[in-house]
Amino acid sequence: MELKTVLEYALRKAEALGVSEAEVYVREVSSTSIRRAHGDLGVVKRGSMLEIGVRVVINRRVAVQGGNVSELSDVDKLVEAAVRSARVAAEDPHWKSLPRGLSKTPVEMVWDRRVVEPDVEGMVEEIRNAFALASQIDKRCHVSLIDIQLSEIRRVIGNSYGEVVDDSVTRVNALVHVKAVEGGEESGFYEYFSASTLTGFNLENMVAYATERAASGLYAKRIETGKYSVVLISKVFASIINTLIVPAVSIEWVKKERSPLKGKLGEQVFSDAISIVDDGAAQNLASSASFDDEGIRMQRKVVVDRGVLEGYLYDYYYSVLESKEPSGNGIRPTISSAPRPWATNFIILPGSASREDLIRDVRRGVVVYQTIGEWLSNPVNGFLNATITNGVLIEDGEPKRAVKGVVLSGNVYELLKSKVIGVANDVDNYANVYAPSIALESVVIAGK
Amino acid sequence: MLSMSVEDIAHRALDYALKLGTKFCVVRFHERTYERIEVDRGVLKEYSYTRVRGLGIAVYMRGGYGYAYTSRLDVDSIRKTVERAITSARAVATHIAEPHEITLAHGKHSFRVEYRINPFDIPAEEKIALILKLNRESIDRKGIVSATTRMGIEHERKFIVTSEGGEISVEVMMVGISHLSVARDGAIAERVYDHKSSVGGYEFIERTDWHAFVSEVDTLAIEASRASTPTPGVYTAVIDNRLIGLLLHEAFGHASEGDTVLTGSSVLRNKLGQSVASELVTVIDEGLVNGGYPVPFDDEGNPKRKTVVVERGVLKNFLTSSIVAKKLNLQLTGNARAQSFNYEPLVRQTNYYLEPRDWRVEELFEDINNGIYLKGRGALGGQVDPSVGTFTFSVGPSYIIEGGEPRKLVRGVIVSGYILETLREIDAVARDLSIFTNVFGGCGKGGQVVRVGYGGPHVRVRRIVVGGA
Repeated sequence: MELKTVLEYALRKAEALGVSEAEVYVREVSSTSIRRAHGDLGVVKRGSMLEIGVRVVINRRVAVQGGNVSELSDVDKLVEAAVRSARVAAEDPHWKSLPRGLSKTPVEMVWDRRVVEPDVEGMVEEIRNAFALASQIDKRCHVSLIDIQLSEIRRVIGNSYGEVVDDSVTRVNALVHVKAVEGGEESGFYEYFSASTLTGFNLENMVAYATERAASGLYAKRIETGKYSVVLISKVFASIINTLIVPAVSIEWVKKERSPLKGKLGEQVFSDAISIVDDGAAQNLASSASFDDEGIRMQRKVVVDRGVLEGYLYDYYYSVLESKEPSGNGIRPTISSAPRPWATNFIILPGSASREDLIRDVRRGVVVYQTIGEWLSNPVNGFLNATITNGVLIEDGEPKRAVKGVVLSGNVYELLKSKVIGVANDVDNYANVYAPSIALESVVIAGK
Repeated sequence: MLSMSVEDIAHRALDYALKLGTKFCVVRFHERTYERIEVDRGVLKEYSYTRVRGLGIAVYMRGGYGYAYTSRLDVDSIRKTVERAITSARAVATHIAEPHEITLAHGKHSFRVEYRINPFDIPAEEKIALILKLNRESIDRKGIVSATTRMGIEHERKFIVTSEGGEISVEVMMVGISHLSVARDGAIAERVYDHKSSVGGYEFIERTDWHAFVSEVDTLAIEASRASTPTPGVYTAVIDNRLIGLLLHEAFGHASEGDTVLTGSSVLRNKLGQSVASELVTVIDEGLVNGGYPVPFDDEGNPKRKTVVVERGVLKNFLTSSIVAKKLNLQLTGNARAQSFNYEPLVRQTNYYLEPRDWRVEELFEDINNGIYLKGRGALGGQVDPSVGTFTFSVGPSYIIEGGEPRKLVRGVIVSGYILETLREIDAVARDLSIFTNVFGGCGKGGQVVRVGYGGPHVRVRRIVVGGA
């Protein structure tokens, strides 16, 4: 069963059932994952999953169905379910058409043969060596988990207008956890990597960084409740942006009254130190590809320019509704979901100061290297809450002691508009969100 | 219909694995069918039917294992998948020098959830009409600016065969309705999400008053949008059934999973037999309980019975899979679970709950003058670091307790702390046990989500850190 065979079969089936329009998305994800945990618990997992998503339209009634394909007869069942579903769907008076003008952006470094045909035994060996590294760097530390996932995603999208696009991308995701133990005290640190290819992936560096942070986290204590200057290290800032800002710039959230950024186009919403772009065609980033999940070519667009909100993110449906060019932001959360406007690679542009400069300027504050629970913050009103699990108390630019177990809180819009001290020149990512480190003043921390 | 029967597919894979010299092997056919209706602001947004099915093969070799899966169920794909599982197991085993045998399921067993009305047989129009009606009632309510209402129906079927001759079949049906309201009062928008789910058939939908359910969620969202946030600080708290279940699952349950203990990532390692909580605390993980999600057998085919994790404050057991039990030299508890065929089983909780004691709920509030009544309804969830026991939790709209009674509603409540400290601070446990499950979500670990049950009685905690937005 080739992908294009499945696509054509599904389109023919939909047409035979009398739909006005049909779109078929077929993908096969082939993955290898290698995991090893402390205590020699190791597993190598390999496999592939062929999936299909079908969107059909019957007189402005739209339905989406998805699932995996074991045999071609599964396609019949799925298309029939989609048609049944469209017949009971409400008519959408705003519906114009399924995406037209399917095309691709040439994009480099999104496919890596080393990911498609991995040297499994070599990687098992590399992981084994990396396990030994933490205790060589610091006797109090050991690696508790390394997990590397390599995937190839082959995709084809086509519709009843005879348009078809296809591509192949690869994805690399890695996770390292290091633990430090000394005299009844413990500390742990997670380091992540995600990109399209193995270029830039260095397991030893990940282990070394996680080891340094885990060791620094020993003897961490709470601090007094109060207001502090805070330096959010890039990955922490990226994760906060992912929870609070990415949903707010989706035109769907704006139209549905869920976004605090509704009606703010052209306004100064953040400090002028903050500029944001969304770029699905950037080289070797976590979500890079030649087209989005609707077959619309990926592109770079400015979301925030020096603090001024310049635009929202559009899928095809909303771009037609709002008379905008589609921005290549039609993303399907799962194979059976309708595409929705969402970020591709969401990038906060770096500033000019070094991370060290930002820290040196702190009189009394906390450098935050890791948090938990930031994803529980509320994007509908912008309230941030995050528990610091790895932080350092700074006094007069000097590190004083490790901090953990205290809660950062505040309104992210207020923090990013009037409390920004500086933005660093380092950029790191949490999944598909890329951000530099940032220094903020007067942030509430609930502690002792 | 598949061209080969499920039993045939699974046995074919097992026979081929044994023929290639595999000693310990589990083959699992796993199918999940999900129907979902979503109405957003008065319009049907989604009516979807998804089926995910395929074959997963675990080959155990010298303490490590290889896992391979395929969604394609033709003979060639099955054979290739078996071969991949074996080569993967070998790649891992090369570096492990501990030959050992593991316990895999044997014997034939089957379990099937009984129900009166198959939810998939109810006409789509009828189900959609109910969800549309509920959603429109909500958006017509003054103060509500946005609402999403969903119905979820899930059927899960597994057929597991093992190299020890085990053959296990499990079928579970579950239904539920969820509602998300966004209320706005001036510049403050507040959302409250809630659901009711039950294992069984459509009769649950028919006998529940969903209009009252939606009205309660809306009212809470409206009241919360007018409420203030609590002053951050340390409080005495009464925690309700749901929240204690969520808190226990996230902050303690994960730390009691044997793989986490084995890798040194659990705050509970080396603590078996020690006091880890107040004497009032007894914690159970059990496969079959009222209100929970049924896990009579795990995904290695082993029976999941009642495991006492903590008994009167003392840590008694960790949760295990076959391989983890062997490595920790503990009893096998049947907690190996996988989201679907394309995932290897991990050690997971099933129905994890706090055992009730003899206090009446009102008694917990009596001597509190300045405290907080922490509620699970509308909670967004939580996150923990099981290696140190830190937790942070977004709680639903809650009440400040004054003069022994819950009085003022507060929103945006976040609690955090160290779980072992918090469990020691429990000084009263009520008698009102409730256990919940969720057809719209579950527990995430290692990128996999599985259905779980969670709950307990009301409890009182002497000191807990509350942060507010």
